Amino acid sequence: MGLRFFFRGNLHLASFALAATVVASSSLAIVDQLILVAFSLTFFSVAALNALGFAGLAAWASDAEGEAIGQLRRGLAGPFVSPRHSPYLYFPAFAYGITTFGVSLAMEGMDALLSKTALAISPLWLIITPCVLAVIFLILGSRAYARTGLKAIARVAEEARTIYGGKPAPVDPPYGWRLAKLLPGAAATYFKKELREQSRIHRGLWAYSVLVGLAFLLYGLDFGSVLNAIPWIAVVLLAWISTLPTRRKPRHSGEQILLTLPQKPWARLVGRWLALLFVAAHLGLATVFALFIRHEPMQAWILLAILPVSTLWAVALTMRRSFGRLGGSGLGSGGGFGAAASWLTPMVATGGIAATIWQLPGLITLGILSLVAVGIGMRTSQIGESR
Amino acid sequence: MTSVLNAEKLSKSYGQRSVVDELSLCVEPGELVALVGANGAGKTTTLAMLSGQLVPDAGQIKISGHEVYSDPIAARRALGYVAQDLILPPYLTIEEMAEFAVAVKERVFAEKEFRRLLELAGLADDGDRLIGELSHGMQRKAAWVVALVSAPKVLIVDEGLAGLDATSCRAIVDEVANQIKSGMAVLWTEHDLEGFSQYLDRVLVLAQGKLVETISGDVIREADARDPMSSILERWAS
Repeated sequence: MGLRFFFRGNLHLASFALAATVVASSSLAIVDQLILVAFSLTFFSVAALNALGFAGLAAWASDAEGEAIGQLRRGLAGPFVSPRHSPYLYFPAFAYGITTFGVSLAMEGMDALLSKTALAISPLWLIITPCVLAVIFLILGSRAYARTGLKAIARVAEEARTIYGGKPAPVDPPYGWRLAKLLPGAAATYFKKELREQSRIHRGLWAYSVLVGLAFLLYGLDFGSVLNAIPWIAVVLLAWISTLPTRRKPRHSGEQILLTLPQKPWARLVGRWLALLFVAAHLGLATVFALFIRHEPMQAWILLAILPVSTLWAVALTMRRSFGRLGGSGLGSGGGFGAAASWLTPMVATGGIAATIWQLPGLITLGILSLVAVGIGMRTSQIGESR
Repeated sequence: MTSVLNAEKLSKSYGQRSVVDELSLCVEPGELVALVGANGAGKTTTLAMLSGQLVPDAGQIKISGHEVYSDPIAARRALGYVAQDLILPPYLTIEEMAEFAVAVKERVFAEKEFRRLLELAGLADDGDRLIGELSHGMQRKAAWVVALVSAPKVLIVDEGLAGLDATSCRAIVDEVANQIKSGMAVLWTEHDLEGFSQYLDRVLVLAQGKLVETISGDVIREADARDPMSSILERWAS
């Protein structure tokens, strides 16, 4: 019964691909670095998702009442505006966590067993055994998940549906919105609007950027020969997921109502781009701070120097679309693909340039894994839109 | 009296299919005009053109004396719009959206008036909730609040009462009637006119993209109270 929840979300393909990579690379031991790459990717993306997934599940399944728990639940809903949508992203992560964790344990156990007993086991069994164990974990985990998940989902649904039942949760203004005072009136209006929307759309990404920053704080740049780019890949993956809400049709994203309002196109462009720049730049700051703290000022300064350039480049990508729509209706919009690209490119650009500086293999890995991440992101967003 | 909403010979085609064909209409200040027609008659397309969301193939639209497409900022400053779809930004609160709508019209956001409208719409405690978290009915009420808070000269309503409870419908219609007394012009399309027929001045009947009949509000009120429009629409459908 609980199995259906595992396949409810869109990330199971990515999860299974990652789990399969871990299993296959560990069992066959083709390339040591592949194992490292798979492990790091799993750690930085799936583990982070899982942390949020577990926290979300716990928060929604908890019987605790009060404003603080309400805010926590809302925060853990991630990029989805409505908490009732959060199961589609985070709850499947629970499944990946259990699967990956179970498979890892199984492999460790097998490794210990093999080294202890020095048994000769054929590679075929080395592949089959973890897969069988993965299925067992999947089924066992699904029951536990169904028990907790059903309760949490019911509560999420209830929370979303009970409109008059509880205290409305107020929304605080986002950090930085007072900067609007520095802008001319019309641009300030748009800056405030965009900053509010963007910071809420991408709130999951902010938490994730802190995780990446922490990873840099712990490891610095000593990831081994290939792994410098891994945290950035993970950010790319999450960046794509976080852009799902912006990839809606205009009528669902609030763009359509703007057509009926008296808009000053230049003000909209300035306000929107400044808000995008402000939020996007923040995402890289966690890493910059981490490098400073680790006494690696040179790299930190390089990142800091790259950040505005890459974010400017990202925002410039929205320019054509914006001007295209400006001509027709007086509306400037960098929504849809442009908005998604604007978030993706700072990550890729910064990560790519950083990897080039540090070493070429990192760049190659970044390129290949970026394609994978983007593919997963596109697949996810297509399914997200169709939902 | 000068019309505050004026459309002349509007035409719009989707590919080979003509949806609106040389449609002309006008609404005067303080007037409530209903635009009715069967499904597919071209009502929503007409309203979308009038509100600046669709560019007509031919024709001219003026709101408060300003041409909608050559002088869009001045024209839209006088416009309020309640859509058939739920189209407000989901990541803003009702208050933030209302504040934004007023700010782009370069007016001062009247907090008291906003609170009064919220209460009237049954959203007194929901001003600081994200629009995306509201139910469909509440989002529609929020659209009314956002449209009315800037006291527009022209209000265009596209099936704005659909999905609303009876109490909210009554409160909203009464508020619109009050603002009409202050000079607001309203062009309203709705399948069921019963909710606001008592305030109607005229009914424009649209069939296959053409304006085929204009009926006085008095005629509608005197007609069969249960279903005044069905016989008219049936006649034009045939």
